[in-house]
Amino acid sequence: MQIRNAVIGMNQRNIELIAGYNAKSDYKFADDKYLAKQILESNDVACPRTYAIIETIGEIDQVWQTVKEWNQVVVKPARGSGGKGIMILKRKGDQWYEGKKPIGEAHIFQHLANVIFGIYSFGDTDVALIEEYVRPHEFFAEIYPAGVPDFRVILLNRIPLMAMLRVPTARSNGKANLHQGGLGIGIDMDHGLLRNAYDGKKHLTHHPDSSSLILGKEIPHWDELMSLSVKTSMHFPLNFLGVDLVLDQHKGPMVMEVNARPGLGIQLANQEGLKEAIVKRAPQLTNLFRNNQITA
Amino acid sequence: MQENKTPTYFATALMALPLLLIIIRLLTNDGTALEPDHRYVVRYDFQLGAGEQFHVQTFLPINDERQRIYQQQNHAIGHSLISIKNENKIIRWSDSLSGGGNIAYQFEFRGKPVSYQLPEEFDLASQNDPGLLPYRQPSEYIQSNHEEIRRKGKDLATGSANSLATLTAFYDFVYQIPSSDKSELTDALKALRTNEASCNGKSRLMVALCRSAGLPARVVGGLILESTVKKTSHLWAEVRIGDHWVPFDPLNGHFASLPAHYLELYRGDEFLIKRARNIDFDYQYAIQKERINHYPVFALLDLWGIIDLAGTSREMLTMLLLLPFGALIVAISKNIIGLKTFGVFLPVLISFSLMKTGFLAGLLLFTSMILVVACVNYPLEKWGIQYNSKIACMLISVVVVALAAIKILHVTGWYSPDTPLFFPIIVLTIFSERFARKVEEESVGEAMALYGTTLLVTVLVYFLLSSQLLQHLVLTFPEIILFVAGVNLLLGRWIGIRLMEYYRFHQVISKSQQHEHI
Repeated sequence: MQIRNAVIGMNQRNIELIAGYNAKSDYKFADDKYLAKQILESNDVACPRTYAIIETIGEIDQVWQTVKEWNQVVVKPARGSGGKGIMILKRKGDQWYEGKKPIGEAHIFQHLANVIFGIYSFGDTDVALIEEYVRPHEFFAEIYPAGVPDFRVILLNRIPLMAMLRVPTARSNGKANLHQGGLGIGIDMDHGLLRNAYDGKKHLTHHPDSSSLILGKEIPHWDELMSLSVKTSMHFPLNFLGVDLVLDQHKGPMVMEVNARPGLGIQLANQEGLKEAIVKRAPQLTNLFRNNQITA
Repeated sequence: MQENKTPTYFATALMALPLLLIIIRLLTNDGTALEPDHRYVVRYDFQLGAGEQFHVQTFLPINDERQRIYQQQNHAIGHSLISIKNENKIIRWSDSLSGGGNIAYQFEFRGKPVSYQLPEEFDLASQNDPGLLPYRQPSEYIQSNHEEIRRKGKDLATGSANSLATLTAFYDFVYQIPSSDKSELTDALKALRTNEASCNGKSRLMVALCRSAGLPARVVGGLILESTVKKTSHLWAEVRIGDHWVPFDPLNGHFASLPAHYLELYRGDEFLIKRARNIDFDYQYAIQKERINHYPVFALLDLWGIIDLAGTSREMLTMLLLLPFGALIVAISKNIIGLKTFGVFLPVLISFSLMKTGFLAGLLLFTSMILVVACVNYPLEKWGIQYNSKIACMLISVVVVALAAIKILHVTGWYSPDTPLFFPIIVLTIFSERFARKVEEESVGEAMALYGTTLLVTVLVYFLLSSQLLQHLVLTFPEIILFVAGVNLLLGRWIGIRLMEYYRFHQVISKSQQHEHI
């Protein structure tokens, strides 16, 4: 197998996968988390409950009053990307906390206003989503006890190509995104086992903060996670997409969001090129490569 | 997925057609595409009245490092004879029987400007060459041994620390003498005494002062070229410094330099035209300036013509045409190398700003503004100021720093007051908003990293776009931007791995290669 270019780079991803497989007009179903949520909910795809939607700065105060009763919420810009603008809030008595740091309501309102003003959303005004906080499955606590890890599955024509688990670290401040300092852990999709973790520089067998063993760990509910990702892809018109899933302690697998431009770091987490994955899992699609560099 | 070949064909056509047109234009026009200078066609027109015998002689230009002469044509009555005397090329027309007539001698001139960097002390050994003796001795109109001139020379040299300072004092003195528009012959002494002189008096006085101080010097004669018909010739001075005859024009203010449009005809204190006295004679010089990088035949758009005739700003046209080139470099940096920048046009606009402010001053200005934005971000973030108010505060700090910079530059005189800062400041405010936004959305660190790569690409763009060669190329052959469009089309469909991705994915790539060997 000629493999020199087994890795897919930005240029090829943009041209052949994103633009080649998806219609521009369909990006919105992934880019707008509110819209995505509506699709998921109306098709009975398990996903975190939406507590509130705030569309204008004027209604922040009023809507917040309805949210205050929950102990834990997540604030998200509906059209944010890369995990930007996501705020995880916990309540103890009347005091809200972001991570371990206390946060005043004024600060929360300011964040909501920034979200609505659109600063995490490429300059357009946006909508703030307030969602159920996902209680991470105990499996994750064995790796690292803080934050919400999530799975990313990349699918092409509804066939899962590659998957990884994203886990927060001490320096990622509860966030699991790779470029915010999280770990990307490759997944052996056939057996539901974790591979090495990638921290942006090197591959690790253990979590750098907790020293827990990662390599070879069996993922609970893996088959459900896989079928949920495929089910999700059935309801979206996007042929190339990334599905982000979480595993709740009680509710099990849930879809967090859908991404029309999944990052390429997943290849580093799995130490495998996406082209290799396409050859292996979707060989009928390899003729998409213009130069046919992949020849089995 | 069947690949659509149409864009490739289209791109190839976009690249090939302008090249074809350029080749046709190169073949059908005559000139030098990339040379910046003008070509002048100069014609001597001499009219002679009837007489028994006549002779007229004048000088013909000689090729040297500064000037090139082409296409010489002699249309004249009588016989002509060319000879060389004292480094000068002389042409003499004569005939024994004549009913009068015209002499027309035409040639093309292409010149380059020269400018010398002078040492503080001159190498006297080479100046003592016996061949230079005539240039150190007084002559009829250059009375370098006259007491008044010697005394003036000594006065001017007093207090000068070195040869260069003495020479500068001579030049400054002669330069400040009020000019007269009389074209009559003025010798050095008369120029000094009357404190008024035209080019010939000033040049002779300059030469006399130099010779009085032991510096070999001579006058040089010729024409200042411009599109006109004129009779006035010009005289300037040359001083022997080291192994070079260094030009000085104390009338028009050229110190150790000469512009491109000076046609040199003879060296030494000679008369441009000598003739038989017994016939009616009139003369003029007809000069026509022509672009050599014009290429008018088959030009879809003759920009040089538009610049020359309509007075359209050349700078504006150049900027307009260079913009696609700059954007191409930004695209290459991103898609082939993997360097991300703030926007596509911003690095190009910053490069244009640097051309206005000067490279280092501009970089300093931009970087200090960016640092100010980064610093101001901290308290604003801490106090929880709303986004738009925050951006406005950052911009105000940028304006304050810009004003302070202008004040400092004004006081220190590092900037001439007419340096056009308007454009750079506009670009700067756009840029600082983008930067502030990045700081707000991500972090100071990420914004600084992006600024770093933007700067890198900007410097790349700056050096490419400052190239005179490229600037002349685009003005002469504006169709080349279609070629750039073709390159962009191909680039936009290129799916190869970016250079920086080879680094990012090197572990995966090397692992895959190991597999290959198994």
